[in-house]
Amino acid sequence: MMKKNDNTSSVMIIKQKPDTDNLGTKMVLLCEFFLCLSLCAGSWFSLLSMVDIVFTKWILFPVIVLSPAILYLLFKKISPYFVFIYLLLPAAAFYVLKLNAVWDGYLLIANGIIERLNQLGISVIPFATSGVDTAVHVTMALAPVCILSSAVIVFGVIKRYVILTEVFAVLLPLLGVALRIEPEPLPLFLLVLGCVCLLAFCVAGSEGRSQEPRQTWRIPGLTAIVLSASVVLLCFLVLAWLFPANHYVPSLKTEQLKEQLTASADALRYVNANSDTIYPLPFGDLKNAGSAMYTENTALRVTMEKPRPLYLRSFTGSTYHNGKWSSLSPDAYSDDYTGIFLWLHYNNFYPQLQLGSYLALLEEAQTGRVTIDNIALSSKYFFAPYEALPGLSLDSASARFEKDDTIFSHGLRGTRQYSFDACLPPIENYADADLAALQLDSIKGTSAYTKFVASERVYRSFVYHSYLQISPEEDSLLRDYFSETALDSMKDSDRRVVVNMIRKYFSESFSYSLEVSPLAAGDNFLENFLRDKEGYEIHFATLATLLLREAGIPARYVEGYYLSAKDTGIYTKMTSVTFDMPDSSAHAWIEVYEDGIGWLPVEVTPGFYTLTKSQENNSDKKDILADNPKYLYLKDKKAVRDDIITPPQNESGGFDQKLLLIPLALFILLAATLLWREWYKKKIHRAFNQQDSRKAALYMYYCLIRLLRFDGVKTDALAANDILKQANEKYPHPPGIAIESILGYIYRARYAAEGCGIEKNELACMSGYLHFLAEEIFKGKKLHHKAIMIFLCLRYPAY
Amino acid sequence: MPKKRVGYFILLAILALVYIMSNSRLALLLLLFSVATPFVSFSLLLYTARHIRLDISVVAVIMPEGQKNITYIARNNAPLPATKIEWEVAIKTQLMSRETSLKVSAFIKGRSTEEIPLSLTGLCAGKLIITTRKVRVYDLFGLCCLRVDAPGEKFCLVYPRLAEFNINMSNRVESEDGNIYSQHKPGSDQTEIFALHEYAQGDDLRKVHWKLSAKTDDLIVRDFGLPLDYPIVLLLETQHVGDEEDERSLSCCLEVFISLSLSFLQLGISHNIAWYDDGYFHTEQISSVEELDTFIPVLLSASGYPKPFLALDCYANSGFANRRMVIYYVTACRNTAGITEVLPCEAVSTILVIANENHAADISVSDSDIVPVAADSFGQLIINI
Repeated sequence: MMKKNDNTSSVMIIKQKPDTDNLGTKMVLLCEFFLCLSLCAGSWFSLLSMVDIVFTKWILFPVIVLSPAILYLLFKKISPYFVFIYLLLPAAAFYVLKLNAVWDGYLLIANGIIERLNQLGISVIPFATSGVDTAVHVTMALAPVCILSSAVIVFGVIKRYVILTEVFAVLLPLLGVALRIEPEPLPLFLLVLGCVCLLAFCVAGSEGRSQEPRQTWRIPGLTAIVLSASVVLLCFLVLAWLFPANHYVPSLKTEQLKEQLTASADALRYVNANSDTIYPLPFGDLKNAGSAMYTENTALRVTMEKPRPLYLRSFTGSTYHNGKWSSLSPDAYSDDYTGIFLWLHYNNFYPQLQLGSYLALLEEAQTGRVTIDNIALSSKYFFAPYEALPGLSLDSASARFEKDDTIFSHGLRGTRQYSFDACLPPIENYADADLAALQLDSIKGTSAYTKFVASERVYRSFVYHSYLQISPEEDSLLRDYFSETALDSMKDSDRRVVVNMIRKYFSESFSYSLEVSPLAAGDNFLENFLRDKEGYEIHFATLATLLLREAGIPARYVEGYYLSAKDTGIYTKMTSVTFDMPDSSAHAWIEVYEDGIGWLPVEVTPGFYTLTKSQENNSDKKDILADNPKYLYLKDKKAVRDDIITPPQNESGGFDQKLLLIPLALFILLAATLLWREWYKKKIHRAFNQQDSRKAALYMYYCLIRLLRFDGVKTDALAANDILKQANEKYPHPPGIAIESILGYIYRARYAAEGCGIEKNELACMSGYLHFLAEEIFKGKKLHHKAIMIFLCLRYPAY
Repeated sequence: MPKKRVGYFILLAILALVYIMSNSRLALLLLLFSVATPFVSFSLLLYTARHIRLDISVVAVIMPEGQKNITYIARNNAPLPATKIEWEVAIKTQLMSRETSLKVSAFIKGRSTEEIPLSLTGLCAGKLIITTRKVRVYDLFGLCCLRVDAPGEKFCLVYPRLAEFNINMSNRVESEDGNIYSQHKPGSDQTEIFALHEYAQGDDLRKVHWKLSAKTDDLIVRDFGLPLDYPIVLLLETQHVGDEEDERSLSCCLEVFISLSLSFLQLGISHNIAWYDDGYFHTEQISSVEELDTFIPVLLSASGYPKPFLALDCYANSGFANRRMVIYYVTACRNTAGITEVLPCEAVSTILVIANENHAADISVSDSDIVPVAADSFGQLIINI
């Protein structure tokens, strides 16, 4: 093989082809064959274990195992391009296009994948299939795909396209791992083994890439494969032993890192230069919210055709835990509710715009155009009021209606300017108003209303299933602070009564303050609020949401911007008014679900609502508040403080990873010791065998002194005669060695003129004597001294 | 290897991302595995690299028809195989100081020795310096490497092709070094007697043959012989000419020079050879093939130089100048006009070596004392001078 010469000279260097022997060629072929088999089988068996589909094992497994073997032989004998392009692809195309059963099989496979995705919370509606002979159809669908993918892998192995082959083989299983769909360990191990061995095989034989597939050289990769396989096995075993499956607990720090990464990615996408000029919304992260420090810079610019008070909502918190509001988990959309929002969206029912859609049904509904210009807030969210209508910017092309979450904007950088129509709210205050006025008979007979009701009923079941849940920690905390009676009484009350009770409680017991003491590590956000009785919107909204849920009323926490009646009051008779909303207009409130209508915003922050006597206690029930002192709801404060809420268990699991340091340190120490010994032994060997025989002899003399000193013999390095005399007295009769001659050699090495060397046999004699002494001393020592001798390399061998 | 490392770090980043997003045991195992495996592989490399030795076997002399191979011998004393050992072979020609390099790699099993032969083509006469550098041993996956001691520099002499020169010499002239004596004129070489005659008035008394005179009654006077020879200097100029065929032309200069000297010797003509090398101007008298053989390795080890007419300048300033020597000037430089500027009064026959016969047409040979010789066809034809 001629290698490319990097030259400016006429001389060419050519590496000669090595002799190809039969055994070597066969070993190469065998290695390639097993690599193909390992990669194909590993990849396919991993994939099959990740998806719940039924197939005929006794057909598919042989196809997976035999197809790489047959294809390998074909590719070696005939050109792979020919086989691939002229045989496999046409056969696969014919097979797939002509057989209907194959299509059914693909749909069944797709449904298997969809089912897995639904378990992860990604709702997709499964395909309709014939339902007949599913195993056979799936097998027929998988067989050509198996063969084609095996062909790609075999081609890559033969041509040594390492990266292409490995990416192709491992991509889907790795994607599954990323989505937490784990394959069986054995096929995955086989796949990883194949990838690693292929890499080692290609490195070892990197010079021998053959241009012709039929011509192989002696590419000595078998040893490399065996060694790399051993390394893989060793690493896997050690790692599996260090991280056993039953003791593994997902790391909290990793989750936090994931959140940080996601937040960083969001920040890159949705935050602009103006974002630093305002105090941002916490978006549910209440624990880190701290005091609100508004800058009064413009955050939003709202242009309304018909100015009205508006709650522009962005973030909606559905689940509360440990000081943080977050969206519903993917599990909430699975099981009975799989695909519910697909169906609702298909029927043009968007829970985020439910109120607007309902109001649009009213005969006297009036609408007005609203234009939002997002100056400094995150462009991820659409700031839209409850009365917004679908259409314009609020359509599926511009906005993402993520299930029952908030409305998100499309595009890499989000949307900062959008317009939509909104119904003018017929009621000023949803919390206090009699909503019976909205449930008019005039709309009940209409087809639009019928359709709305049908969808609303379905959605309502989801709402009651998902938005009454409180975590056990918060439930326990609320029960500590509120008496059972109070909480039970709320359960039996009307929504408006409960809201009023909460408002009254807040007004009388809490004070509004933008400055709150920062949360120390381990502190509970809610407990601090209940204790300190001070907070701002996010505190009141959180507590109110949880209390309403305790009362059996579906409620959610909402953040956004509030354009109050005070801001819009004088403009209501004008048209097209633009409001610059500063960051101090940021607000948090709750939304409560009204059956038959939808989510309604409810104000719970003192100072933002007005309590009237006539709105209190509309029910016939006895008003506990009227009878009891205001602090009757609370237990004794001291008793509450004495109750220590046990901090959460250490979630790092039963395995203290610090213990790993000890064996690791021991291993490193042992490795260092062994390496040092090897190095020292080599040093001695080099010194004994160096070219300058005098120096070699003098080094042997030095080793002799070292040995005797270890044995406790007091030596003067310059008195060679004394040293040898003492050694001879202690260890007489070295076999075949005369002490006088050793002394002679030492003297010659020390004093002889330049050019006089020590003969090789004389050096051998000296090393023999050294070896004899070392063995004699070693025999007479105790175990720990023997160990020291071994460690210090004092057991000199005879050279 | 940088590509592999970049690929490895990309793989690590992907696995780390997969682990962060999934927070699953399997993802963690895959990530740790991708960290641990190269680490173990590197540890094995640390052990293996210390047991690897690389030596080179080079013939001292390469004849034109002989084998042109160098062999690398890689020894692995460790029980583990060395997946890949790679090194760079660089061959430099002394004449031009131009280098050819080649990267070579090999796999060595545990406790074994591998021989890696390399053949050399396109060789030109002269000295080759073979250097081995960047000897590296790679780990199992080609991610890491460690340096291994490289064998030292080796040298090799490439012997020249020889050609026959048809030399047409004119009359010999008086020369102290001549080995032929004039039949017509006496000289002053006391080792040879030209003629004996009786003493005549004015003859030098020191020329009297006293022994013969004692046997006769008259004084006999000896006339000494006059040695004759061809006063020839072969002058070699190994100046770089700066074109693509430079190396071949210069190498051919050496071949022409040696062939010419041999041709003179075959005619029984002693001569001088002169060349410039390593800061010195060398001159030697060649009377026999054995003497020439001793100087061939020295000639082949000559280095080229960029300065024009350097040997010619040195000759002009040497003791040979103005001795009316016949100079055979072997050069590859086409600027022959400069020769008369340096040696205006000398008889210089220039043998101009060119790369191939196509270039002969480019040479304006106004002077009949210029003999072009094509390097590509050297040795195939008899050259007349």
